[in-house]
Amino acid sequence: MAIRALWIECCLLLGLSAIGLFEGVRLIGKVQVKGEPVGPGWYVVFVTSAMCVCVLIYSVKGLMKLMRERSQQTHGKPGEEKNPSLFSWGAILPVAVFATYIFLLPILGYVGSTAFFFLLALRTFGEKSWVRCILISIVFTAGFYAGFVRVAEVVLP
Amino acid sequence: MGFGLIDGFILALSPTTLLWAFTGCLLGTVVGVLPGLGPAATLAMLLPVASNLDPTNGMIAFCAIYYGAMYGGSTTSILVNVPGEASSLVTCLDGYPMTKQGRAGEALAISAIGSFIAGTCGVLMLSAVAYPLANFSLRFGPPEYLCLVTFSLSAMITFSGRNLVKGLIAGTGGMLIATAGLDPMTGIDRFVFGIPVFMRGFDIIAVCMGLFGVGEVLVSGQQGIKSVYQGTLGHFIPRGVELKKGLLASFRGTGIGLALGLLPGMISSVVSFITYDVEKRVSKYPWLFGKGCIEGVAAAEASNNAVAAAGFVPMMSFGIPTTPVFAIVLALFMVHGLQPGPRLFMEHADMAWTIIASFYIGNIILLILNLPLVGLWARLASIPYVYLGPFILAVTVVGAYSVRSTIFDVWTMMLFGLVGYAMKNRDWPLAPMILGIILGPMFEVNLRQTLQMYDGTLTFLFARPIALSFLGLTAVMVIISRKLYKSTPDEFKEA
Repeated sequence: MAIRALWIECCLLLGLSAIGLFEGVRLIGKVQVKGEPVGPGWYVVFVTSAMCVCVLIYSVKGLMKLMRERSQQTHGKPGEEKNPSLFSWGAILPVAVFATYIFLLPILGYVGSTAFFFLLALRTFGEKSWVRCILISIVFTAGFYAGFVRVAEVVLP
Repeated sequence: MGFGLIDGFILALSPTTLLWAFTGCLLGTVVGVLPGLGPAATLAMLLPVASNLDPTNGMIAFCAIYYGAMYGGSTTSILVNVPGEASSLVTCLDGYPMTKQGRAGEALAISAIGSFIAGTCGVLMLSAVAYPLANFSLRFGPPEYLCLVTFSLSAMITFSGRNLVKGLIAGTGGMLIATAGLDPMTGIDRFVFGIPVFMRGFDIIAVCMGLFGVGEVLVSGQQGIKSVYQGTLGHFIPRGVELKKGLLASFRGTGIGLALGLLPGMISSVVSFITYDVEKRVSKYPWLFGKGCIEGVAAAEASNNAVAAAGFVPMMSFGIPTTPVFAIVLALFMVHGLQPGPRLFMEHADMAWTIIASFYIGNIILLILNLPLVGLWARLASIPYVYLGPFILAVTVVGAYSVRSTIFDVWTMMLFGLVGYAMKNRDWPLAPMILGIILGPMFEVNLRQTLQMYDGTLTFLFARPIALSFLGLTAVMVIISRKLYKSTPDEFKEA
């Protein structure tokens, strides 16, 4: 589990660094600003390279730590504290409900999508009574509409 | 200067401004009381609302939320042993034992008094030094600002906590994220990949709300935070010797907090621990600490409020944030097109002095709110996260959408919410990333201008003594902060 999380982390970070380096090099080749030693591309390369070096150090250190823990475990000694995973399955449902809300926002409009979101989110976060869910979602939606749209005059979809 | 402050008081006492200060203090106290909702997350969520207000009132409400949260954070620490925010962790050590002894009222009172003393001393310091320091910064050119920003970026080292490499990756990652969109000097697009909406870059507000607000809700929901207070408060004001001991500890905590709070990266949870440690060392009866000692509560609370107040000095004078919260406050200045520093005091003197004057008033409001309403705050701490979580998520959506009226920002917030959640799960520090996002563009512009001025060489270091001294300070700061940090126990190191 720990090695998989570390693997995903390092791949993501190295992927980001690669995109940064690619963009920086592209800009260096494309944009030449007269009299400016560090153009828009060089700065990106500079920051990405710093990040890349740190990611490599982190990867090596992480792998060494995991290998040390494994060898300790094979020798019957307790390993160091376990690394938690990147994402817990318990968060999938709230994230899915939240993503659905954002997706529905431009389609259903603010009031409809917000009421729907509260209904599902309250259930997801642990409210067991459907009646309470419906009542609270109506109250919250009305409160949000009154507070943000009417009073604060925030423009919403 | 005197005229400016008096003028500020006249404006700060106008009914509308007073109402915003009160609203901010009230909201801040609520935020401080509620576990799982920190001041950084709240400020990030309310950034769009504050940006819709008149700049002065928005700023006053915003700052009031911050120091209100520092005040209110102690309530749950004392009553239920659950800190409202990270800086109140140390308050738990003696606050909760006092509650178990039936002295909750005394603990709450001394924490409010200590916070008031620290807040007031901090505001006095701000009034005295903010303007001269801002004037001093008139001598600054791009090389000085470059070194000053480097000094502030050194806070990344402290914010990194247990894992320096992780902090540096997060910080440089933040700096990289900030480069997306149009280049500030040439207008050339970066990381756009032919998608027009990417030209706007990532909105700071959406990113902050995602990292702190959404990320925090997902983590808190996962942890199942719920706390109900069912104890007794006892009598309120500490008497005789206890009051004297509490007051003296408050002044000592204030002194340490004000001195350390001026330095970048000195987060209040670390400073609180250092103050607590000092208080224990100077005490005649150190064995009582951790068992309900009034000095422990007073010193910890005074120091974390002093840090909150002291951070406004570099923020108002140079536009340099010392903590993530100040980075978000700086973002509000940027949203209004304002630059803290000498120009703020010259071009918007009324605004600068009204904000400072409102801090004095805010302190009094907070004292009034915190002492008599303590029973109400105790009850508020029992709101279940079942309702709070969806409520916060809905607020973040309004906040992210309202700034530029585009659904792209809401998706950006969601994406950074997942990043924040994953980072918290894997014990990655968020603060360096925010610092990188906020200070990255300043660093880039000043670096490029400086190198343009000196033909791509670093010879400016020999011609610019102020710049050189900032670099020297950076080196000293990195060494000191790491040493202080290493001597702090792990549980007090959360940013």
